[in-house]
Amino acid sequence: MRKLYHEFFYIPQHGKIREKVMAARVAVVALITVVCLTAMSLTAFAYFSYNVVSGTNRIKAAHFDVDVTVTVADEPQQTARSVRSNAVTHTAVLQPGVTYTVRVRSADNSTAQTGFVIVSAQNSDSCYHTQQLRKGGEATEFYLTVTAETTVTFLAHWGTSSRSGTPAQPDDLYITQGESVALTVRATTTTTTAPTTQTTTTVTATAPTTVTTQTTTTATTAATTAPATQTTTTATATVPTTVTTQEPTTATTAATTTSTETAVTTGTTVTEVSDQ
Amino acid sequence: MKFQRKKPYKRIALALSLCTVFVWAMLGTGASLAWFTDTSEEITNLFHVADFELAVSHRTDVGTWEPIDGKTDVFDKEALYEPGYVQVVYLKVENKGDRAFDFRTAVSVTKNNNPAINVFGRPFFLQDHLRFGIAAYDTFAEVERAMQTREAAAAIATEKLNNYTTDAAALAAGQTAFVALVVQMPASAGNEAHYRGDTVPQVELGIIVNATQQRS
Repeated sequence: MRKLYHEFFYIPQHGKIREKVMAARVAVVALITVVCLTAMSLTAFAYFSYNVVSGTNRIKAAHFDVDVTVTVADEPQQTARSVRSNAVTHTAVLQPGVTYTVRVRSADNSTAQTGFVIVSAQNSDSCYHTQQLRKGGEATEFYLTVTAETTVTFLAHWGTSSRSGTPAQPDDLYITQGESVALTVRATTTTTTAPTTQTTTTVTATAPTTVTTQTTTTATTAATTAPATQTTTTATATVPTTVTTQEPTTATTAATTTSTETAVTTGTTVTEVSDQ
Repeated sequence: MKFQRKKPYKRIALALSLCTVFVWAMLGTGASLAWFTDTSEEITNLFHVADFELAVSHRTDVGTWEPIDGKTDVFDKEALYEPGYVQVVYLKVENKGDRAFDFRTAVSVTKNNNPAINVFGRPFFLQDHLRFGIAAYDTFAEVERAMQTREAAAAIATEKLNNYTTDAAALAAGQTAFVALVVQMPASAGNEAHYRGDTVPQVELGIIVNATQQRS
């Protein structure tokens, strides 16, 4: 400090004032002036203003989940094939010629008051909205058919459907309680990878050898006589996979024998589906 | 050589000159003062400290007014926002002092740096999907009339939720003003704001009412 003082502030009694010392003293005076002016301004401001501040308020969001169940209309015990990946997707593989009963309701873990379900299908341009599902409210049940095998997706959407509240019209793409919906699916030459059993099987009981190019149906005739162990390869477009051990009697519902996935029952998240 | 001491004639002359100048200055000032001033009756001036006081309270669910301090939660802690949800908070601003002031209502939003994940697996921030608005009224009846329906309240909340300060509004001494703060999630919010997973999206919001004394 002494050295600093002698360097920048010392003025000798009989000597000349150095420029450095003069500059330092002027700077100190200016600094003190600025500090005083600032202090005066702040004091005046504090005196003449007042603030009231609330606590920290937290705003949170809700979420909407659904439970979806898809069963065959005539046989409620049989569920359609469904796939769930990472517990975020409600999908069901549906077959043509079968009427399915779809039941959707707000899941118990939903915190949103209302929402709805968007029903869409692979290779289909149609996109349906169900009626509003209230938290803790009744389920909505409707009937669904498809024109070709397809994967139907059920997407939970919070909020209110833009189609609700409009007068009911045919083909309004809005599903209400008890309504029958026919999803038009564009036919494809190849099916999915799922090696499902087919609804139709034809077997000639006598020859347990490979039979090529089988067409479907007429299971009633042959099925009863052939207990099992037929191998058939169906060359029809719908199922290019080898199918073994068909169900002899109930040929139309052979899907149950090889189903390995569980039914779509619990509501979880869903993948992105374009909302039409 | 006889040493002769120099007489300080210069110093004496300088001192006399300075004294003369000083006396002349005093004469001029005193004369002017005597010419331009006059005395009148004795007036007693009373000086007192101005009373400057701001009081802000918020309306509770039961209809009472509760003062706001640094720990007061003005918004409903149990509320969960979904499309179409609207929440209105009513504030009462009182000038309890004896000086008029200008007051401003400010909203302070703390940005959450951790985004939530929506149903499509993409990150998002809840505050980007919320809207708010602030309106001031002279009486509470006006406030109730303006906020009679949800649609009317939602019509005020059009700004994206962010830091905001209203323009200054004057409030005379002893007067009261009412402020309605509306926060909503528009009905058009889709699944892009619909979260999935364990991270519940939230926004931290603070309310500040500032009063500044008017210049008289």
